[in-house]
Amino acid sequence: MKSIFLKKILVMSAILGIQGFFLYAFYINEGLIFNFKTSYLTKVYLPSYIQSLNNLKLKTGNYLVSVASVFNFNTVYSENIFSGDSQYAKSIPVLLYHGIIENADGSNILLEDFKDQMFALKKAGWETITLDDFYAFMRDKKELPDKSFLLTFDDGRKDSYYPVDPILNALDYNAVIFVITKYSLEDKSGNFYLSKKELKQMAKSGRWEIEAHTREGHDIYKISQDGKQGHYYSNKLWLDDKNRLETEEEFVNRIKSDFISAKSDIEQGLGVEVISFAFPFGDFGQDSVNFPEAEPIISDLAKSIYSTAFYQVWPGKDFSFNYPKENQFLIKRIEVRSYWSSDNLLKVLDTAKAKSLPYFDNFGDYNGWVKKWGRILFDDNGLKIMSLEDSTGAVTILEGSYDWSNYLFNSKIYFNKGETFSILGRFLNDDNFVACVFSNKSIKIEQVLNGNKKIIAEQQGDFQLIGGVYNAGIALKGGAVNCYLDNYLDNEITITSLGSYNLDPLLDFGGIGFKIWDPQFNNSEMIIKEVSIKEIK
Amino acid sequence: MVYLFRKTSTFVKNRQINSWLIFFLLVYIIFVIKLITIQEINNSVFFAVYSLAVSFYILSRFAIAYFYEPESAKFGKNYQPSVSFAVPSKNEEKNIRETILKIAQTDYPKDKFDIIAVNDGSTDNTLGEMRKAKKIAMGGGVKVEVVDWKVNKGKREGMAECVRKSKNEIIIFIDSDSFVEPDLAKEIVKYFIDSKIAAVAGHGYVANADTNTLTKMQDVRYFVAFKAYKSAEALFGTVTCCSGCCSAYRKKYVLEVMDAWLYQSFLGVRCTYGDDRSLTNFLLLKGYKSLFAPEAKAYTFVPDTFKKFMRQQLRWKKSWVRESLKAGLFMWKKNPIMSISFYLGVILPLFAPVIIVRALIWYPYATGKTPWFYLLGLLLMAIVYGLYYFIYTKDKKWVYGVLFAVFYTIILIWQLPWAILNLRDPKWGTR
Repeated sequence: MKSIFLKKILVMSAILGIQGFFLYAFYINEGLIFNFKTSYLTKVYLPSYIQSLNNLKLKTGNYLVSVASVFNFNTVYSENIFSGDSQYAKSIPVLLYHGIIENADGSNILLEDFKDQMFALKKAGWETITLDDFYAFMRDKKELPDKSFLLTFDDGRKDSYYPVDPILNALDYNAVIFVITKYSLEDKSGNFYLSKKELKQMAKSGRWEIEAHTREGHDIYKISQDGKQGHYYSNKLWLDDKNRLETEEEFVNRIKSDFISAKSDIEQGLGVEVISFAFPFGDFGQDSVNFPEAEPIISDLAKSIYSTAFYQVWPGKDFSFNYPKENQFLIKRIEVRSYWSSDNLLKVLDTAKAKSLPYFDNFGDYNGWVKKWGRILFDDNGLKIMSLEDSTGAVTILEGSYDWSNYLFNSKIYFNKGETFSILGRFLNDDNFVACVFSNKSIKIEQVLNGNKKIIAEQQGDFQLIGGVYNAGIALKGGAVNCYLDNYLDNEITITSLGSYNLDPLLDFGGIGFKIWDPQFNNSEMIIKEVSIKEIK
Repeated sequence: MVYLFRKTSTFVKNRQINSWLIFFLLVYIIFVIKLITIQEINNSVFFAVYSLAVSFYILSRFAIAYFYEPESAKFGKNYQPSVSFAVPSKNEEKNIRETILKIAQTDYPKDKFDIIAVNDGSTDNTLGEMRKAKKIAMGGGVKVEVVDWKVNKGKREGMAECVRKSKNEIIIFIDSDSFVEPDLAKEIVKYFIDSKIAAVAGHGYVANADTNTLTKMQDVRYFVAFKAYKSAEALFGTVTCCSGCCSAYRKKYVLEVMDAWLYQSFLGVRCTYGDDRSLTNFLLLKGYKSLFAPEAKAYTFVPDTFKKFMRQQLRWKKSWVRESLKAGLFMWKKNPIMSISFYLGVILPLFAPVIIVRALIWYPYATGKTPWFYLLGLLLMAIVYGLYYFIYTKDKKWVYGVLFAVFYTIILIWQLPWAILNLRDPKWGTR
């Protein structure tokens, strides 16, 4: 009698156990079940699975695994060959993605492209780092291997997680996701944004760090009486009920409260620490429409609440990597474009990472010359820079030269037209650099510091620049700067040089570039045949 | 390996196993739906808890019933107490003769059982039919006593009269329109070997199951109500209603509560319906136990028109309210699982109308969404209900069980508030 009862207890426990097991299985995979697309299977899960087998094979050399990997068409493993002379990274890129999608929409990345990019990065030796490591690196407190990068996703979309996570898992990568707390932490995640439960699961997996994107600021708001709309962070909003714009105080309170709640929403909701903020639309005040003074205000507020903040740069417009040179609060991110192949992405990273000296370039390959103004193009003659119909000049700089400090930068150039051409050194950004400015009448040393131009040396002369091949150069050592020009006047070559020791200490490092200028539109052009940069000891 | 395969394939071929698999798969889906519901309606805790509690309650009936394996039934094989079959009846000329004759065929020592039939002021030929039956039965050596009342006194009085007249230990009440299996007495009395047992309910089946949709639905309903619900209660010796169609009572204990039962009044009105539930309740209150005898089968006629059915259900609901209130006062002393089940079983139907209105009317109106999810949950629960019937009976009528469950959820739950409003109305409602 007892044994029948016991048997029944066992049977019932088994049934409840099985039910409970499957229920739990459902519960922990609920997100995946409802967000699963069959294409994930072939595009993500299968390749990721094969990759995992490969990793295992590399680790164990297991016979069975080797057999299983016969079916592997995607052999990818990190070659871990350190390029260049340094084992340690001098600069680190931060990649920015949003959603990983199925059907092209012109801005988000397609699933297969993303997979290819990640596998290609792994194969090329790129490894992800955590936000903490990145922060320590930027503060010069930690050295990281060359080819380290930080992978980030904005907005906290479901399609940033479900198709991506298996890939991260297989490649042993991790990522940071910046969430909009108004949606994700408030049970208003819907079908698009990740829910609190999903974020918890992500944080628990160890592959994801959850950081703040904003609470309210990801929508467009009314910023003037006539209904014009603008970004939440960089503009004073129009208050309909009071029929006026916000006061500065109201603006400050609003921004501050969004900074604070975006952080605390996540910290309280998920129990994780938040140290960084990604500006919605990458706008930290620089794109303000009605409040130009916003940028320093936002910057001060952000610094009081976050350790670091992110925005995005278009690669090919500026230095796109981050250097631990100066306690940078604002971190640049490379927003991966939807039309990039994995080769494009690798090229962007390879050309933009810190270059070491000596450096030589005759433009046979693309090595990271980026256009900041006007137009640049590469042809058989070299690098050609020119002004456009609506520009009086052009500027190009070399990616990866940002942290150079003492160097001699020589170039062989051909100045077709224009009033001046300049060799740029110690170039940090548009507002901070040194230039040797050459014209037919003079050579000047210009120092641009925080946007203020100052001529620190000048020499009059008679230089016939147009039509000849010149060697032009700049030498920088500490606070000393020298400009050189091979002068071909009257068929005689004389080297003119001009020096100064008065360079501002703030400009003690920076990259190289070229600039041309003419008072008229579309009337300047220069061809650069080759450049060589040597370190000055 | 081959052995394992063969074993598995016979396992799969077995239809009952297949049905169970489907059953548990559906239960799983129901759980999944509940899980999602709970997560999605954080703002309506009441709704979520209710939705969970209902499924938990219904499914737990099936689970608890599975454990019912009464020990006394095994020991009582050679135990043969004396038995009286009690058949109170009114205006039952159509069935009464067969009812009595079926009882007379009972497979039990002739000297150990008799039949007491009460004609409760019938206006038709019930008395004549009773006497005819008596003559035939007596010819077979079965003692039959016919009590004739010229004035109608009510079923409760009729039942009480049988108890008084009986000289035997066990009284088996049989409705005048119920037919018993010959082994009913044997199957039902063996439980009484345990002296704490005061009442044992037999398994009521529907005699006119194939008449129409309504009776088919009731057939499934009866089966599940007995097989699952009564077994679940019996596991704790606390069957709350040993129903009139065929239940056995220990006379000694009935006599202890008889006066209280006979003159029971509620809200100042003398109780004239729900006699079986009431009697069981008095016995449980005394601390006695009641059980369920799955093998003791009786077939009873159920209402075959919608009007009659609704009237019967209303009557049941009214006695259910009255007796549940009463039982609520002592049920907490019983086994915790039993008492939780009992109170859930009382509270849940009370709120059902509100929940249904919210889910099927207010929610679609307020959000503009069809509550597919809710309806799916409802349907699955109904299928599980029907499937339970199918697994044990292999009967195609199981689909009517699904129909009944839906019918119950949408229509019948409204009877409860109506019954509460009409509690004081003593009308028996013609049978």
